[in-house]
Amino acid sequence: MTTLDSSKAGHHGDHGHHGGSYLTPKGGWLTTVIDWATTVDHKKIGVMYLVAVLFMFFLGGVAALVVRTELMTPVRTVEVQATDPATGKAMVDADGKPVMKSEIRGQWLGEMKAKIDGQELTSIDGGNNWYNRAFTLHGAIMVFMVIIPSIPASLGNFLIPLMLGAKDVAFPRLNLLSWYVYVTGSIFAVCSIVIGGVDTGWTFYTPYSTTTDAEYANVVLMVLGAFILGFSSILTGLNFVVTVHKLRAPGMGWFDMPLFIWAMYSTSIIQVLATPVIGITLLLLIFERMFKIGIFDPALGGDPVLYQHFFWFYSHPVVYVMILPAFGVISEIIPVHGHKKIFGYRAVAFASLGVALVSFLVWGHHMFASSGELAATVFSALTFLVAIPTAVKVFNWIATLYKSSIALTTPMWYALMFLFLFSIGGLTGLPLGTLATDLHLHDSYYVVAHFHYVMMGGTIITFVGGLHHWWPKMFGRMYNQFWANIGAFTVFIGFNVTFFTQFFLGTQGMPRRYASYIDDYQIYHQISTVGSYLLLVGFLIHLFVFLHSLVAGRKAPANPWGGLTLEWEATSPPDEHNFHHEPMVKHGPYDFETTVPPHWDPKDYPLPALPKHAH
Amino acid sequence: MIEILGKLSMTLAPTTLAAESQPTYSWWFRNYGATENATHSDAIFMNIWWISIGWFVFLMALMVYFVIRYRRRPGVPAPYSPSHNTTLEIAWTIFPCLFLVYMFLAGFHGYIEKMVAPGDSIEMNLTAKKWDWTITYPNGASSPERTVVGAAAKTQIGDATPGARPIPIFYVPGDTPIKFNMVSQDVMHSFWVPDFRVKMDIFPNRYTTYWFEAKGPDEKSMTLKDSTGKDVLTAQGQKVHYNDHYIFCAEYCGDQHSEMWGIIRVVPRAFYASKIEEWNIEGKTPEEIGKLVYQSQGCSACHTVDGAKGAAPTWKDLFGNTVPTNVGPVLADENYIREAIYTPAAKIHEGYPSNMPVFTTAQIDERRMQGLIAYMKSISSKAPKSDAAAPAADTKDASKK
Repeated sequence: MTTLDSSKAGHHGDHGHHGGSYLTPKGGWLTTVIDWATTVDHKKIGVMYLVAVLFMFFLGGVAALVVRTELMTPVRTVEVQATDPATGKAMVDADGKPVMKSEIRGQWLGEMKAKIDGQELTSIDGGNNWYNRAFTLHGAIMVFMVIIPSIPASLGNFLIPLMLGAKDVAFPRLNLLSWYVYVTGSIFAVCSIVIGGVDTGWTFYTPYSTTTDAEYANVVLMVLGAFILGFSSILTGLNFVVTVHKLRAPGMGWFDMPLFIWAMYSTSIIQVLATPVIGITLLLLIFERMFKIGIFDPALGGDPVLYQHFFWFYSHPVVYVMILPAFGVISEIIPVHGHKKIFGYRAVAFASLGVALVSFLVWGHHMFASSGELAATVFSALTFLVAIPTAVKVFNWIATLYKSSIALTTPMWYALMFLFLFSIGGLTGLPLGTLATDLHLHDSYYVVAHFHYVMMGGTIITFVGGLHHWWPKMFGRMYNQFWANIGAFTVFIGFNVTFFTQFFLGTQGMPRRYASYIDDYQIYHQISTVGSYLLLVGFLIHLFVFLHSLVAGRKAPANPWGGLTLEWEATSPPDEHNFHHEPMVKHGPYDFETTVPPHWDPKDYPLPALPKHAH
Repeated sequence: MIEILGKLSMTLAPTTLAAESQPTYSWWFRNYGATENATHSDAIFMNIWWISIGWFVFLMALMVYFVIRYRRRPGVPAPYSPSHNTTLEIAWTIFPCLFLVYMFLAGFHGYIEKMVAPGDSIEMNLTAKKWDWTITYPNGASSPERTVVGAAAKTQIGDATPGARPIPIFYVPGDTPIKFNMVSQDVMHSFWVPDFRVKMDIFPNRYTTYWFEAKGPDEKSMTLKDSTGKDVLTAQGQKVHYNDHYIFCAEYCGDQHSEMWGIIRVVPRAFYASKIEEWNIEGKTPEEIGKLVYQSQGCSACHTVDGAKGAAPTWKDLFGNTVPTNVGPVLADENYIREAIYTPAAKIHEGYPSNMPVFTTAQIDERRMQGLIAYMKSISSKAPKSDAAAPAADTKDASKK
């Protein structure tokens, strides 16, 4: 029934003469390590990115838990009667009046620091200082080292050539280089943490960032790290753009491409165009810090608002670098697990490009509270404009569910969770685009909650969902879906408990980046912190499910979910050169009504029967 | 263009819709806005909230219904449907735009309301620095009042004790438009009064403005008490009602960013007038002036006067002693103090970071500078004491040198 001639190489078939999967070790462990370290295979590079990104996710997650734990209690200085350390009795002075001393309560970071320094906790500064470093670390790692490379560099690297029916990306060596550049940038950042960390916030706003810790190199190292990471983005983006243009399989026109490719293509364009701006901005910041060249610091004749413009001119488009790949993943998961053609293919594809274009014109909405200029009006209007293509995509996904055949697999649960969380993230963005209400909500916990719903509820949730979708393809093993679902539900509940409370904190007046707060906010903070622990449990369950799968998972069939895109024609895990024969594309990526998925075996996974009119 | 926008937005102007009487309002806001603009802003927020709820429930209901109705059953084919419908797709692109147009216009209207101060506003100057606020009133006075909320004085705000140090209290008249001209002395800060629903960034190299017209205190408001717990009375013997509103710094600015708070205390206009007259430096001794400046310019945020350790060197016994600095030991005399205030980076006290903000001669003029020096002398055992029995006369003599 299948229209693909390569389907004769079923996963049950004997293909030993092809040299085995890309995961097959080449010899002893040393040879294997060298083989991986020097590989130009996009699949291995994708897996190496995956490992690196997950490690950074772990680091960023630990920082997040430190932040949440500190926020369990507000920091308070209270006057208490001093006790004599020798006798343990309350001290009184010569007149019999109690001797008072101030004591700091509710600051476990400060207590830890005091313990390590072997000193008494006398000031809130030490603990606050650590808190500021923890949230900066969390933000910088999660943005620059996790979310930006998460889907594009790991899943994208692995899947783009497979989905296009190519042997590799257009520039395999450049691809390896970009991984090393990523690792180098991350090492700079980790070094900066090791020698004391950075307390600037991930936005590095001047003049604070150019004057803080003036005698130390931490900030320069961290900023340099982000600068280097930018090159990794640019190289990967460039590689993907060329790959999509030049390496599509015979028969694959632009509108025969899977939507994941469209999303990655739009993402790559933004990366190539916007990243140089942040690169040069960060370099200018370093120059100002090291050589006192006045660009952003008024004390040297610069302007801090200029930095904000530069920074957001990159960092707003980059929001879409983070979310567009997630759109791509959802556009794959929903049709495959719903076994139905995506609704409005062209609308979804063009919405990706539309979002990419408009994203360059809305950076000013991060600065509504900066100077109160009328230009804010223009940015507000453009911001609402960008809401349209995003909303259209959500409508398309939900319309795809209509009259489909929904298998509630772990990836599908993640896709449904995405629709739920991303809708909240999108809708709560509306009062932020509205000028009047933004003046209240800007830089508050409302913003924190909003962007976590979009960045984490959107991108990270989808990243984990996509990982579950392509895990059998990447590693040739199935995983325990029951426990994976338990993990997914735990993450979902934990996420909402953590972040929904923060909306209320924000509207009630809690500013972001605060180590302490007034008592009224404490109950919300405590609920939020409990939620973050639940999130940790959820991710740990996922970790164990994956590890169990690698060690003892059932061998995965080539096409466990019944997908139609080309990666499902390769074996699981794919051969070193992806396909035995160059695939010919004779059907669209979502033509479930008329095509039997390659390698489909009713024993592997039950598919709904084809309708009568199929041929 | 702007006029058209203005007219359009007027027609959609947020009818206050009694925002606070809506269900779920109390989930979002601790208290009703303290200004009329805040009430408008809340009305817009609540409208967007209901629109969002509508969309969210609609989309999620569809999703859940589809998932249940079209879940996969073995052997049952998917009831396929078209994967494209131009009319539907155009409709669902256009329809949401209507909501967005409303939000944009309502937001524009509220923005202008919040940004443009009425011409008859009372202008005050606000300076921010790490990690304190100073407001200079039209007569040149600054508020020396501070409180450790909860420890020293129970305020209307509650008994939350912020960080390590007292936060400033700024008295402003109720039902009067007030405009702050704001500037920072070091890094960026942001002035946020959640009860006013507005924040505005503060820069070291330009002025930004912030205006509000706080609802005046009424009979239900708290009554002002002094440190002994007795009612503060006006000249006519009446109790003074007041409303307190928190100020938070909303732009990250370093170690004590999360303690950079303040209180806006809205009092009747007459009481405000008597307060700022009380803080006026005219007719005061240098030592008294110095103490006022110490409290009102935020020196007390870092420098203690009782010898306790702070974020900066204590002033107790500072004057006349030798100070270890990065350029060697220096005698803390009049010129050292003057230099440390106007050009603090010149000599850094060992063991402390170089983060003292720069003061200009406009902020601390010659009279206030002499006052500060006199005040430091009065709390130092090394200061010249010509007549120990008459300390007030002593400091006056010292300042004349």
